Amino acid sequence: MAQVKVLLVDDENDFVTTLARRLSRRNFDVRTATNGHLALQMIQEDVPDVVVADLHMPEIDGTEIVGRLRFLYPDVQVVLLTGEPWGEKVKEALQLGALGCLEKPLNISELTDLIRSAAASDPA
Amino acid sequence: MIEMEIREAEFLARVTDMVAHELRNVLATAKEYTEHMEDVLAAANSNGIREKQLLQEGLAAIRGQISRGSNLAQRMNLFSHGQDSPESELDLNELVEMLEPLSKPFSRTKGLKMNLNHPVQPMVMVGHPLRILMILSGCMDFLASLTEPRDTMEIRVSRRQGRGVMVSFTSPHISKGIRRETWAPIEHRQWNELESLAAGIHARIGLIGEPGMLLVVFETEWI
Repeated sequence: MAQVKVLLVDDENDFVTTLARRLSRRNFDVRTATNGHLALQMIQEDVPDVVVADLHMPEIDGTEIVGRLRFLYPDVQVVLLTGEPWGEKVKEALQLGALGCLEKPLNISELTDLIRSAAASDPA
Repeated sequence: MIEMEIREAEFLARVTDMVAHELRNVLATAKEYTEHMEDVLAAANSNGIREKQLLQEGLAAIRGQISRGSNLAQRMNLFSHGQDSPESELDLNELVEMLEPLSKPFSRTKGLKMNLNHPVQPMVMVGHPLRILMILSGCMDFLASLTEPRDTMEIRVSRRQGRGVMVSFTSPHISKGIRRETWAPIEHRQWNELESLAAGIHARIGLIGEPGMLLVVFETEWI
């Protein structure tokens, strides 16, 4: 079975690095980006199955990533991470087409389950 | 003056929101590192079993502290968002749990022992979290001022028959202290302030002589 390709995007470098290691141990093919610009560039070079992005980032945040991917790469699913899962931005991102939004600190099983269901689903 | 207070409250809410957000990021990273180390340990060979066990215990303790910090950050968010929408759904049990840390100053000076007693299931109601905490904390402080050193105080949350939620503060040795005719002017003033604060959030407060009990009743629908 092919590995699910995941792009992790978060401006907290330590967080994204460690989470990438943990996902790799669980047999995901993981790359990381620490800002939205770099993430969009990396997606252009090699399109992932799933993008896992922090909702609150400077310049290009998680909501904007969802919006751009719906337009440019509608097959790519987006899972968002946030410390404030009740905020207005979460509703906006879900309306734009994000598959789900998980609360930080994370539960790794919830994340891996969501990534697998995202990789298996068709956003269109 | 009132306008300045509103601006200060709004600013405080923003600061609290920012601190809670950053705290969650710190805890999220700490949690990832901890669980990553647990992954590595689980996969390691069985050499040094004693050391492995010690490490596992240490990591479990760190995880416990991360969980505690996350709960605190969540509660900070609850109050910072009080400015956006004053009335929101809240779990009264969570607010009551915050009374224990708030009681520390007089717990230390008077040696007062606090016992919290609330139902296991959430006590969800609609209200203003900050004002509810203010009234609960004010009642606790008021009763504590009437207690004897090394007394106990039980705080109990319960649903009223039909409608509303009740929080009782009971100290068995204060039946004389809660008689209004024995109060100093300052105690009358504190009590009047509490009554007025309670009235502002559709709550009532009352005193019962035997056992020494202060009651707060929230006239709210259960959710």
